[in-house]
Amino acid sequence: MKKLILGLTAMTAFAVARAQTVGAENFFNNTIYLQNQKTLVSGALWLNQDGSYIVFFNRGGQKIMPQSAAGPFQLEGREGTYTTRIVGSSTEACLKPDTSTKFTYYTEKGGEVFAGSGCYELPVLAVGASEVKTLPDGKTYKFWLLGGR
Amino acid sequence: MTALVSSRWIGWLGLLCTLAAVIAARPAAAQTHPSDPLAIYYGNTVVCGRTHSGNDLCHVWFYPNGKMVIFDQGGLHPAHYKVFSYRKSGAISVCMYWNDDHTTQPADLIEQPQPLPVRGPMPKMAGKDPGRVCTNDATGRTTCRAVPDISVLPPDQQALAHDTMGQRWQGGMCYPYREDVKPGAVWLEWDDPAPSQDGGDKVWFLAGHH
Repeated sequence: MKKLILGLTAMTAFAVARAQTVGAENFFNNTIYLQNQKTLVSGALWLNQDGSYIVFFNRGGQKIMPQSAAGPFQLEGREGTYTTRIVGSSTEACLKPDTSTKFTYYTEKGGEVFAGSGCYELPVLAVGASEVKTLPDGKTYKFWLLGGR
Repeated sequence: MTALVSSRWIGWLGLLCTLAAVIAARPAAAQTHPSDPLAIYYGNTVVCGRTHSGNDLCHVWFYPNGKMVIFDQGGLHPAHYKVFSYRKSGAISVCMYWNDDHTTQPADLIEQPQPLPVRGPMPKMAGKDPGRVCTNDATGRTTCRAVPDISVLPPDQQALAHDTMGQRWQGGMCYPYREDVKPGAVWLEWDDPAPSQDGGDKVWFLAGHH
């Protein structure tokens, strides 16, 4: 009985996680790479099947060196959870970053895509392909879908 | 009777002495080091930086299951690690391996401007092929040495000297990790395997993942 309950619980959790990440399947074992065509900030996003994600940014050469553990740092990484939603013909990932850390995320302050909390349209790309796209906020990015991680 | 009691006492005394000797012989490390020497690092971030400028070179996230994530200016790297022995400094040796099949960044990424001079590859002198050879020993220590001319090395060393950064990290790079640190700490690590940066690294230990 115990095993049955545990099995059902696991299946339910899997089904819920799956339902929450529908439309993101193409990204589970691949890497979305991005670059802001104006600021040249680049980054990578991993969307995981369990509803977690990791995003990383390279802000470019630093003019001000970090003086303490508060930064600023050239590289920024963040993790959190996400759900997907279908809007018209596109899929959006609604990111909920872990806010328990008290860092200043300069990429979030700068409004870089995937840097903060919110829903972002996912690129429609085959593995190995890329596209340049202007987002609703006017920023132009190049997106790549790289095979593997 | 007296002889019997004496021999019993001698037996007990012998056992006590043996126990005392065993306890005394235990290495001090076993009494002072925690069972998981990387415990303080889980959920936190190690930032490695240039020794002198402090420029940010990589961020490291360790997970308790032996997996880890490293990100640097070359991208996001899934990796795994192995914990080796303690060094004389008291730091634990940890060898980190990028996963073999991991992806890299796009070839047509636009290079970002570098306001500070970045130390590039070693200058090439006429007729010479400079490089760097890194090797790991059984205790979990990586030693890298600059080689002014690869062509004079034996063939196996030449192959190592031609390794890309990815190949070098796939083979494992070992670094010392201190246990006596708390998030927020900043230190200079002089037990670095690489000869660049004067053999040092500036380390920031950040609370949480960043």
